Amino acid sequence: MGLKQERRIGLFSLLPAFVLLAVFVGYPMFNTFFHSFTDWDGVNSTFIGWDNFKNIMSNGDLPLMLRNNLIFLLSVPGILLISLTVSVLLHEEVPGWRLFRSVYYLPAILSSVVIGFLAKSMFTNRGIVNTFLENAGLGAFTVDWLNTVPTEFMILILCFYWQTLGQGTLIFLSGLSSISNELFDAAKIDGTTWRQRLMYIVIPSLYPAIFYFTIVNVIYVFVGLFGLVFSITGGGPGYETTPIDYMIYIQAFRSGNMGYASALSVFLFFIVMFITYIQLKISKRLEQ
Amino acid sequence: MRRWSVLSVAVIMVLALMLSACSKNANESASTGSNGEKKVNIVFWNSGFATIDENNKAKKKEEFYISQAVKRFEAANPNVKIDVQDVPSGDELFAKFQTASIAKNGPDLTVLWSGSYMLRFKQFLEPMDSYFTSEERNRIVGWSATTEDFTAEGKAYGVPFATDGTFLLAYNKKIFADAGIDPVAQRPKNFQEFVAMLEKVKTKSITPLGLFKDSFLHVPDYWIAQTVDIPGLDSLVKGETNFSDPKLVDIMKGWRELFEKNLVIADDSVRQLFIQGQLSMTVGANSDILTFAKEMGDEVGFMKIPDFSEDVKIHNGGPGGVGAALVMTNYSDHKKETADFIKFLMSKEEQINKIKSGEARITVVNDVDVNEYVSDPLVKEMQDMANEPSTIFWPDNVYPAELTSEMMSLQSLVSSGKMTAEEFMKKIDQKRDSLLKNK
Repeated sequence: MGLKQERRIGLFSLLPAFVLLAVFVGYPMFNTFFHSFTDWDGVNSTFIGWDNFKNIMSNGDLPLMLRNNLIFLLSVPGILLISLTVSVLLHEEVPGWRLFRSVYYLPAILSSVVIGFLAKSMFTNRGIVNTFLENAGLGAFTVDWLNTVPTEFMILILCFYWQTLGQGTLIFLSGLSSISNELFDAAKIDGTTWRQRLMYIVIPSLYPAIFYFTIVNVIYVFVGLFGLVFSITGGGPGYETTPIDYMIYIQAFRSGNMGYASALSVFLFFIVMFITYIQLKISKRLEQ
Repeated sequence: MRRWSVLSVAVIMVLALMLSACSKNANESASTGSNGEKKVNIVFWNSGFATIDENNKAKKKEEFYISQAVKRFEAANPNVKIDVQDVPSGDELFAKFQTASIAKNGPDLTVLWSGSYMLRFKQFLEPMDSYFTSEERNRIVGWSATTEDFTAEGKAYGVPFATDGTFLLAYNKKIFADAGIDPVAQRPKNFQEFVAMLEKVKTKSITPLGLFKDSFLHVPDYWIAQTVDIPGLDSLVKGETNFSDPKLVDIMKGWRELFEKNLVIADDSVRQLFIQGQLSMTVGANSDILTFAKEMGDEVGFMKIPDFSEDVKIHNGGPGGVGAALVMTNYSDHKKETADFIKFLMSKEEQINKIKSGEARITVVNDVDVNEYVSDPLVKEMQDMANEPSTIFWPDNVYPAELTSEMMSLQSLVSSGKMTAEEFMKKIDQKRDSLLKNK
């Protein structure tokens, strides 16, 4: 079989996957781009040009939504460090590491909504957290956790960490397993401390895993927080904890502004593309 | 060449599978019965009838009213099968109904919140006028909650399903007696007297009032409506008057004051806390009052929400009325059978069966006297109150859905003191104006 024919067969065999992608990813994307220029209620659409985008820029909600996304974005290095530390400890087989490996992974298989409702029931006015504080004689420290902005973000980020820790640990553990034990043993013999081994052996070896984890979670904080926000704060009070993806839901399904929601989706798409591009650039520079 | 044929067949098969997955399954809407007659399958997304009893988890689905009603309907109409699918109410149902209707694979029938909540989906709803004779229509009350102009004679996109009666305040008699208050005999005449009453309860180290997260709809929204009356609400929606009217701003200031003085907790567990005696007062409607009475016996009393001021246009009322409607989709393949099922559920016999089952306490049909079937004085009182002209149809069902959504999102900023009452009302006016501009 000639090279040309092989190439043609190769391409043809990829066709079903391309067709599936075109139908289930390409068409909805194209549809969303198209409807972002329309006033659309789900059935009827009227072309309105750039009006939806102008509205996004001028109605005053954008800075607040971007601030909310930024707060979540700033939380990513925290979970990166925690996941890295936990996976190194598990890799070093600290006492009880088998149990902890399962315990840490467990939340990763739960849905965001389950985690959200669990956190919500814990942090309500009369929830377990305030009850515990009262019983411990710390009544002065009880807070209306779910009606105060800093604590709401704290709970959302706590749930994000809780849910992501297992995934991070799994990724870094698999990365750690590829580092040869001889390297560790040699470093130990040379008298390196735990911190030095972490900084000069583990982190450089895990660079591709760290990069992958960061990029996935940066994208997640822009497009994946819906479940947690929906189940814990509902985006409130006001729009104080509403990130862009939750605003898309509010506009599309509470207000029926499908055109405006499509425009917001396109806006979010370009933000994520831009941030991913910056990350790739930084990654390339670091590689060099 | 043969290899190309194999690949082509594979591609065609994948495409065929995809297309068949996207298309509506014919068996979902019709199947052939044992006698060879074509059986009509009606999909009913049930968000209005009980199929779970929180107090009796052992109760089987077949024992609930809707299962038994479906059995009776199917027995009388052997060619029809009703497929009852339980769907949670509220936002989840709206989102599901909207997406399914865009794809035209939603239900034949469901229950939606009435007024602007259901009218948002007008493009998917079958007008019901042609299915009901004027006699049939006259025996059901509350059509104005389902028509596009909110008048009893207007074009109806749904059939009144049930009434919420009037939303009330339930209070713990013992706590109030200990505080030396009789809230009925000394009914507060205005907001200040209401606050004074709650403050007196607070001296007994009990949280005076428990509200749900969405209690804005039960309390200040009602105060707005009673201040401006129904035509006034219409003027607010049309932009002829403003929410930033000082009289209405005062209501939001009052809403803030309740929270500022720590007279209120807003928590979804207030029902349980009230039953446990940890709250002196909470809000409740039709179904809640019987639950409270069952759990607390004579210890519970009820009063209407106090008037915000003595100058309001409607006194001694409450929000309520027909809060939900049975709607049929305009893409249903079995409109006649679906309409027959709706009429069956609304028939005199079925409304009586529903009351006798204990799952409904009051009704929207005027040819059934609840007093004949229910001995509980509370139920009788609630039925009477539902028919009083002072019961104001839920204001949020009158506002455009986007306006209600904005109000609900921002009102908590006022209660938490992050936004002033003036700013809130100004924002609502701005939102209303932008909606009118884009109309």
